Amino acid sequence: MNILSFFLKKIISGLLVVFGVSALVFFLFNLLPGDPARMMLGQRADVQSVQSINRELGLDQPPLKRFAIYINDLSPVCLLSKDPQSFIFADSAKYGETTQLLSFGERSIYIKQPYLRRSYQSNRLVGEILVDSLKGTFILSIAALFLASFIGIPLGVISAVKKNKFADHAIGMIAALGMALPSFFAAVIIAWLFGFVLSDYTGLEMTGSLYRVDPFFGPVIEWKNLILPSITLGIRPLSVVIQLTRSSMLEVLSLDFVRTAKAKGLESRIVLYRHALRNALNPVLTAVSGWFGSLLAGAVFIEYVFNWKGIGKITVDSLETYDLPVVMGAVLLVSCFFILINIAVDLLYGVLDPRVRRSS
Amino acid sequence: MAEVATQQISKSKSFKAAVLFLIFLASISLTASIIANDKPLFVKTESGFWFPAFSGETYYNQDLRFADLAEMPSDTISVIMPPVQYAPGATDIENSGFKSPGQTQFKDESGSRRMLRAWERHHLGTGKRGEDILSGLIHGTRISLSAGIYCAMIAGFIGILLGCVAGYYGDRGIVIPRGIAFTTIIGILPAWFYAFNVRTYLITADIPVSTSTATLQAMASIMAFFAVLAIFASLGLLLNYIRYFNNKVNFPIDWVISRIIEIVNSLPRLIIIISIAAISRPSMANIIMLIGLTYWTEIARITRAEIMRIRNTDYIASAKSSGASPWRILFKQALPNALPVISVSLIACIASAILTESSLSFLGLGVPVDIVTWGSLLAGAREQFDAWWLVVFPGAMIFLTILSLNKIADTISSRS
Repeated sequence: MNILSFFLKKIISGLLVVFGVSALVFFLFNLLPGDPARMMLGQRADVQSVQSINRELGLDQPPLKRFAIYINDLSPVCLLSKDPQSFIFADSAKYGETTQLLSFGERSIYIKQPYLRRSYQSNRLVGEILVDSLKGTFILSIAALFLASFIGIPLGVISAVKKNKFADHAIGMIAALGMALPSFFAAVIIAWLFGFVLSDYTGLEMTGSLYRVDPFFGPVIEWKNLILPSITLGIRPLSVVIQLTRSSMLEVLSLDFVRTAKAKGLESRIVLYRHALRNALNPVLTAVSGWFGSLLAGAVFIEYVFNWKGIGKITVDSLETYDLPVVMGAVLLVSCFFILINIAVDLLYGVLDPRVRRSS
Repeated sequence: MAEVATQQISKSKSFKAAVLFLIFLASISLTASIIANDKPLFVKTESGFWFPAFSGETYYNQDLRFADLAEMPSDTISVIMPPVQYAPGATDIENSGFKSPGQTQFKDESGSRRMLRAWERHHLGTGKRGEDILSGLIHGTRISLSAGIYCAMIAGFIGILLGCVAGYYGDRGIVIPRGIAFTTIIGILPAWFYAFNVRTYLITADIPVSTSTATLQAMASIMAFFAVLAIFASLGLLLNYIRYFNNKVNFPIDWVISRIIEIVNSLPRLIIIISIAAISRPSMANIIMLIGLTYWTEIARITRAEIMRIRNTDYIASAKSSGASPWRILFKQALPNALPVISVSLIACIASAILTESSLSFLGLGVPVDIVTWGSLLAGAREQFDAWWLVVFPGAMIFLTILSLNKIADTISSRS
């Protein structure tokens, strides 16, 4: 199989998965009880305004038609109409800037940004809300992964080199403890210990977001608020990185080329870092990139405890006010990131290792 | 081999400790209402005797609360209380407002306030309303363990079934006449219509009322879906008389199941569970269904890979050549040999279900408010940061449970 068809196959299957995820999200959240119009207007709304809101949100349509409109809204390539009465009217308030590709009379095919609806509560575009909060989650996850890699890989190497000695057992113990530590428990303990009890020495606070709103200067970036949440979020990836590095190092160290390198009299440090570690890092890097996707979603509790403004906190806050478009948007965004990262890892493997291309 | 493996496993000290700890938890959760209860174990009066804690029966025309012991009938001869004399989540006004384990605790006895005796104390402190932490921990064990086990049962059933089918048949295993494939594909639309469109109201109307009836309705819908499909498939048999429709085609079952796994796997589980739990009515069954229905993918993936490996072994080939049916091969040969690997993933599923359940109760979602769980005890600490006992004890319970489950899974996977 040549590389182009491999790419195409992976991308088409990825698009299929994205479509499946959107369908699942749509039907999950549309099957749920609750009436958005009532939530927006309160209990004492009259029938007419409820009806007009339902018409505006398209809730008076049959489910399959709503689903088709939803997919049309999400897709970057979409069919829109110039007729203002139509459900797919090319409304610039909804879709922003659009570029026309093809035209069949009234209806045309456009390229646009995905339209994730508007928030029921604030009437802001969901895309804007998510982009605002994505930054916080992104920075938090990257900080946690860096922490996990920079501490975890050396610890894993030490553990592999000193196999079955005290250091190995101690590091293995740390990894096992980190795997079992519930994130919210760790978050509460760390926030309390370093942000409250030892607050005079560390200078940190229990809660805080990346931006602090200053009355004179507007939002100010507070890097110190990143420390505690990122450490907490990094605990579990750290344990995974340690365990993976250890097992993959042990495997590589028993291979022939390492023995050859040792036999020809190379310094053991050079054998370890220049020969063994380079080959051992591949599965670790895959795991780390895979973790990035799940960290975006897994940061919910840490964001909640540390009051860190991010995707997870936005989701929990919107749930309290039954703001379904925001929740659906957040779920879709995180899933798409996850799928994108998986495809990217697959493609990278395909480029690096021709055997992968042949087998799939 | 198996015996050697078992011997090696049982030699590991930490494995033994983990198993013992889990047995300890299981026995606590089975006897929770005897260990921690505000009703006496045994009451003897001149008119007879009762076992209020065992039967939950009312005594003296009302629930015999510990605080009411002073108001016992005058003919009481003897009372035996459980070791922990408080019900989970029961309000204790005298000791309300976060009493630490070491603090002096009081009791109001017929108007006069006295200190609690050593055996009556709240051993692990109290929460905001004076609820006993130890009692909450003991009763929370039952919630956590049962959530974990039921979730693993649901996830295991779906995961093992789909994994077996995908792994055993692969992409070329299911070959059907073109006619049946044709009519089945046509049948999907009417099946969808009769199963889901017609019955949507029945399912959605039941979700806020009762999850179990909604689940039953959903199951009925799924069965109706397959029944209509079966009718269309049998119509396809008629098409066999036309030669074009008699040709065989492959049904790529492995591809389909792998894509389903991929779709469910790329959804952010936690966010989905939190959103649905927040919107639907809080109930234990709800949470178990939600966690079980989202955690099956890992089990399915592992089962599929393992069955695929086993499918190519010699003993399966000889079973096939001796004419055993696919289901017989699957359940008598392949599945027993895949069991060690599958059991590891099941144990991991129990651990993550326990973790998810307690995280949800920490957010105050899912489990009804009046049920005390480890997570909801820990959430109490968010109101009072000084109350370390609210963080440490429930947190330690969750931590130790997951640690021992992980240890058992690790040991089985490294030694088998």
